[in-house]
Amino acid sequence: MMSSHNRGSAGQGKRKTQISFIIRDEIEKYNRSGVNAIQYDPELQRLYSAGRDSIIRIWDTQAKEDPYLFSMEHHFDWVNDIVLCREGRALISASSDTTIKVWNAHEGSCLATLRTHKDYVKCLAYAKEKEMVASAGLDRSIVYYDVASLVALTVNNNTTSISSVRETHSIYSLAMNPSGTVLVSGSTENALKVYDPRDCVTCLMKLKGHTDNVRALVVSKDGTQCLSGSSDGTIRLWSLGQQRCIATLRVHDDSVWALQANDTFTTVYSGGRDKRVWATDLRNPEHRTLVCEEKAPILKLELIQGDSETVSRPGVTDSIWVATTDSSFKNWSLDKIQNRMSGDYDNDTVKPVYTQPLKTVKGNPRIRQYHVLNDKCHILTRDTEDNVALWSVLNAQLVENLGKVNFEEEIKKRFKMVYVHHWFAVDLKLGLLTIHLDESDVFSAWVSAKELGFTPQSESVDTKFNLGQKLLEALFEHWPRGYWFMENQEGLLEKVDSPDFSVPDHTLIIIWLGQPSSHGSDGESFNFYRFVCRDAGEMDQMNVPKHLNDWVPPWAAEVIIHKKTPKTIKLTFYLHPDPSTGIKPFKNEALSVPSDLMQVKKVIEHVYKFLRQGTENGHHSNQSANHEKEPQEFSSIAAEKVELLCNNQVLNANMDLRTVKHFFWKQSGDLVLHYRIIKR
Amino acid sequence: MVIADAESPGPVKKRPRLSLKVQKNNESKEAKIEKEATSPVLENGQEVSDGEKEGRLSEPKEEDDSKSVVPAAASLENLGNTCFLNSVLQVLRYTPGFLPGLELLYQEIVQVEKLRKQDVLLKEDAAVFEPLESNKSIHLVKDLYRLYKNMEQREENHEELATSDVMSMAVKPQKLLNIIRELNPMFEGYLQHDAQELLRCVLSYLQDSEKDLFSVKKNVSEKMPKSETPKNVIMERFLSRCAKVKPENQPQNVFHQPDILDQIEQSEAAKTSITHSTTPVEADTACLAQKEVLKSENDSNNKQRTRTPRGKKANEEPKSNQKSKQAGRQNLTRSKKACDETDGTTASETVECNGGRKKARTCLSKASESQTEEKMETGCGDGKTVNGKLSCEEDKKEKSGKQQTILGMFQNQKTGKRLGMSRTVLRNSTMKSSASCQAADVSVNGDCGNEQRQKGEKEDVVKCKSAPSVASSMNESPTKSQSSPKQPVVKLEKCDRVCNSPLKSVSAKLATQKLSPYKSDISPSKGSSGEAKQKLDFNVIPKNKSSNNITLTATKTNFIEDLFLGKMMLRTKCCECENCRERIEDFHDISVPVRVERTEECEEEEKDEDSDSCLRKLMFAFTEVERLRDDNKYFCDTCLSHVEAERSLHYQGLPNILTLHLKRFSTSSGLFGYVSKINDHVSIPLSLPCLRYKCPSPCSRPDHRYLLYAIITHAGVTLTSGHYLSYVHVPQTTGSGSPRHFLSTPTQQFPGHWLECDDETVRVHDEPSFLSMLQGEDGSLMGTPYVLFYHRNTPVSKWSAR
Repeated sequence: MMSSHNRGSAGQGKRKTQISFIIRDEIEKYNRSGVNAIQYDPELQRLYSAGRDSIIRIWDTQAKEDPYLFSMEHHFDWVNDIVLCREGRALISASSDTTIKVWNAHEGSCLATLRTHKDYVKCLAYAKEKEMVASAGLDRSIVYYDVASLVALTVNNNTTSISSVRETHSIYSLAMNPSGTVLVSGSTENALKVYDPRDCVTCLMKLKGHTDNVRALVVSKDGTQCLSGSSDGTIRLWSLGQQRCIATLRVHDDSVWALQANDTFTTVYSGGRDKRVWATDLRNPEHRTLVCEEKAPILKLELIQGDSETVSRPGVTDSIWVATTDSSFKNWSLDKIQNRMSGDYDNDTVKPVYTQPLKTVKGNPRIRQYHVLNDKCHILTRDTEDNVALWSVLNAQLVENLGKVNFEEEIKKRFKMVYVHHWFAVDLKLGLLTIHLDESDVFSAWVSAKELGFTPQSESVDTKFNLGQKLLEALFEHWPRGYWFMENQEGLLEKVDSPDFSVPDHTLIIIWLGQPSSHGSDGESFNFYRFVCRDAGEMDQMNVPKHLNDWVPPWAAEVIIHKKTPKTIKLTFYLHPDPSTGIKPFKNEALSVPSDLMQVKKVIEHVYKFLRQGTENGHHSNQSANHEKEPQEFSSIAAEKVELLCNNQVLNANMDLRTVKHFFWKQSGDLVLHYRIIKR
Repeated sequence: MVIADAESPGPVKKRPRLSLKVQKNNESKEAKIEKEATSPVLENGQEVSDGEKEGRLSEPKEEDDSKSVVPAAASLENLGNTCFLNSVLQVLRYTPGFLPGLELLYQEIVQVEKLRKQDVLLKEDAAVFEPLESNKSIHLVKDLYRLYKNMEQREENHEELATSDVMSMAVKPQKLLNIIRELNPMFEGYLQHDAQELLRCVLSYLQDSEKDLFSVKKNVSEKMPKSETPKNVIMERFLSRCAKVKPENQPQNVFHQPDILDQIEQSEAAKTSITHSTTPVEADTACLAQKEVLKSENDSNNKQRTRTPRGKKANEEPKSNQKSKQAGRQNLTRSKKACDETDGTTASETVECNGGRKKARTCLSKASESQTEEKMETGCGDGKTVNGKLSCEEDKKEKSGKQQTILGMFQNQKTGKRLGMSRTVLRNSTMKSSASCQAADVSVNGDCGNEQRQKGEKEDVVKCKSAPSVASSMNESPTKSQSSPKQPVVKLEKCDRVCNSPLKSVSAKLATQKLSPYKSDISPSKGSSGEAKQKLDFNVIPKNKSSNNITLTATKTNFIEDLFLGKMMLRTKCCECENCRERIEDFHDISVPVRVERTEECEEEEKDEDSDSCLRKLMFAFTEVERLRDDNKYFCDTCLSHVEAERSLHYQGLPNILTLHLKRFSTSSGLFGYVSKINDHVSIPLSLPCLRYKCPSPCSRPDHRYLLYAIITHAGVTLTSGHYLSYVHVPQTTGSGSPRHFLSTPTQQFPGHWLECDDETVRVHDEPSFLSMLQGEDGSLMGTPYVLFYHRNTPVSKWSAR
């Protein structure tokens, strides 16, 4: 029956209460992933790039060598759009972490975080003359802000008057004219909606014509015309006065994702999924030219006009910055474009005017593939340049860069015959490794200390570590409430111990916390708290709410504060004599061990002991005495005499039972082991 | 189906046990029927044929006088709230391509069982034999087949059986019900059940049986040495039944006239050679042989001229025709008919040729000597041989299942050839009139052509469109000289044969071939020896059977899938990177929500679409884009992130039978735990436009359209109560009519009419009145439409090529 359809992977977008952290370098100088937006500050000749790696970077376009200036890192998901306001002094950014942040662009400090949206914020629009900003996104609402009041926000004065419009479709594009008289939104409704921002409630008109999502919009200065780029591959020119489409430009072979128009609204620059940047004369749409060809789909264009009124600097000519899904972005000259416009192009054969960009801001490769190794402590990754690297989850850092080697082979090479339960999830959306810890399984992985390379410090041989516990301890190492802090004589907390592991200080940690929703409809609303590992102890920094205490979920607090050891996983199994031995099964009950980490040799000892009891009943006392004195010896003797089998395969004595279950038993039911006496 | 709570027959859940029958409308309907005179009972059952449509039309009127007699369409008895079963059975019966598929399956089962018995006997390996016997789904096939057979017989014997009592034409589906209950205990008890669910079950069981049978066949064929022993065994069994058991090589005994027999032998030998090697050259030789035979026979003067040229033609034509397979046969038949007509033979003959019906037989018997029949029967293991020509098909059906199996075996082209040859021979000998000669020749040519075509392609069913030209050419050249050739040509174009599987097609061929000789006989029947010829044909057949077995074991039938299976494409498009993921899924039916949730999104679209049929709107609502957003975002492999996505369904492969299930029952709209029915009116179009996403809209291809052929309606308030009945459309018979070797429906009696099957009662509506019922919102249709059945606007014969 077709009425039931498997949703497959679709459901994973749902948020959970979880603790996540990002494994990264302290300073991520270069973009790791695609660049969603670019803004140019003509005053300082700086460039702002909004990366999918969650970082906004500022670049000096005049720099000869290393253009990197600094980063603004407070988002932890894709930054989807940025606008530069107040003549370059303030920057507003919109991110998939559902927030909008206001930055002091010159200093790079975050002034305010606005949680006005409930879903990814996809786009921003800025009216320069009115210093007004609008944001919209997948939660189908458009929100207007007054930039002046946004900038005035402080930690204490955290409210601002905003107005918003509720839409019916996810909004992917937004545009305003400089005077803020017209706001246009493009959505998956495949239509444009035009609003008057001064009266933000009513929709002035709806312009239909596109057959797919509207991904890019530009409004002319006077607000009478509008250009739209759509996933249907067309660019349409609309007359807002006439409320109709005046022209349809078919210059691209695929979706149009980015548009820029010059100040006079005579030339439109467009880019999209077909990786090409076209310049088209709006007065004569037949006249167009292929500016350049990128290597990845184009996400955003930023036009720099040398002769614009605002910037009339000698030496600055028209050029265009092109951001793609690739981590590097380039600047292309537009010098000869006007002269080269002509009408007769065949898209297949046309050659771009420029093949070399003026400037390139390089990016780093992004991790695009990962494999969690068997020990569940290490991850092998491959990036877009095919470099393979080995990471340690427990230490939240790179272990080894393996260079350009075969990924699959490296995985095979590192295969260990051990089974550890799954205890974390990996996410690559930033191009970096993000690890998510979730209550449901974070404490399910146990390993013996030896396996982790710890020499038994004391007590018994088989100290076991819970990986989730150890990692949480490490992540919250600087949190004064951790059990390793003790009050000293002066009443101050002092670190008296340190966790077994440590993670780099700069590790970025995000806590997602579900709370009963105040809106009622969704059941639960999620809030998040982001901090850097070393800041866990700081109480009063701006943007860091004082009490991390409020954020650490109970399940994490238990191990961090109370040093409570999670429960081990019980395992039940059946032990039978191998049919070939001819021994009658002595009992048919299931045996239960408190931890599935129990090694096969322990079971062998048990069997051996049992057999000897059975056969040499008379010497019972002797044996037990022996056994107690020399446990080591006893086990080695046992291993010589008895062997265990599972599914007819002889088991290695050092293997643990969960590994046996996973690699040999391979069934969901209780494990069944057979023993037999080794004959010599 | 939304809910299946009928399964739990706990005391709490007991629902009224009786089906609610809406009786009030009956009278008016009957009155309507009378007025429209749409329920014809044939006075002379024998005489009805496509050719006689006019006659038929008039007949119903005569019937009006005796309105007390129920229409000649078999009904099904209600065995205690089994109207859900009855309605489904009736619909299936009228589903194009279903009966032939079923019969074929049945024949195969019978055959395989025999083979296995043989196997067991030979190897004393009883274990192997068990599963098939105990396989319930195979039992289901058998019972279903027998039921339809039973219904058919009732219809055939309508004259004797029909009274004013509706029960006179009713069949008890008791056995079938039992087996269904065994298969799925859900249907036990006397509660009302969901017809849609039953339909799904039945179809899946049929599919199971096909699979099982296939695996069994594989087994058997693997076990059996490919040598002919087993086949021969079967053959022998068949033959042994007949009083005169003659190996294939000894057909002569059958014939009355020794001379003729000899000749036949020769021709057969030639043919056999052909059969073994399929190259056209050999066929030519065969033809030559035929010619020779003909020449030698030169009893009649006229014949010679015509024959020789024809023979040549035959050689040439076959090659050209090879592409079009069976069509040729049909042509032959028609041409024969035409010839007959020209000869002045009676219309009844034509009829026989077309449908090969029982009536025809009777005619034959009259025309031809009774002796012939008897001889034929005895001579050949298959009763078919008898009148040979027309009745073969019918006989098979009517007679024991074994014979049917044989039919299946006959599928080989070779048989056809031989038959044709023999016919020609016969004709030659017997023919005294020039006209008859022509007919014979034509048929010969056609046969040759057919055979060769068959060799070339084993494809199942052929429409005769291409073929007619050939046939006509054949007819014309020889015929012109003698009598009006135009008629045959015209008739040829009409012919459509419905055959789904290769096997069927073969049998169809056989049937036609048989028919053709018959005709020739008829004309000569005036003369003496026509009978003998006919007998000849059948002697050859056994050999073919054996060879058929091999092919049978190798093929796998899957007629349920062929008929009902469609494909959908599930496409997920990431809204970020706009990459698409596509997954193709099978579907058997489409559940159509009766109430579309009106979202803001579709408001506007609805406005523009008022002209469109409501159902269509509903169907497209089903394929509307689903957006994965909010908490249900899609993880895109390219973006490595959760993004919004559009998920859409597209119809990719269109099923031949489109089953639309209106979701009238839902828990959501009713009280807690109570299944309520949505009685909203849904206007049902008689045809649906193309659904395929790849086709431009509007799609210009007529074969992508769907035509309504059946509806199951439900009257009542809940799923577990109320009453089901079905409306089925009796196909318009095409000019030539379909060959009658398969299970049949009363096509001849009510072409283009709609039957209202209400358990024991069957009422007949003509198309316009049905349409008005369908459109009327006042409920002139009994119950509300629940399951709709559309078939593709193409001849069934083309369906196999999905």
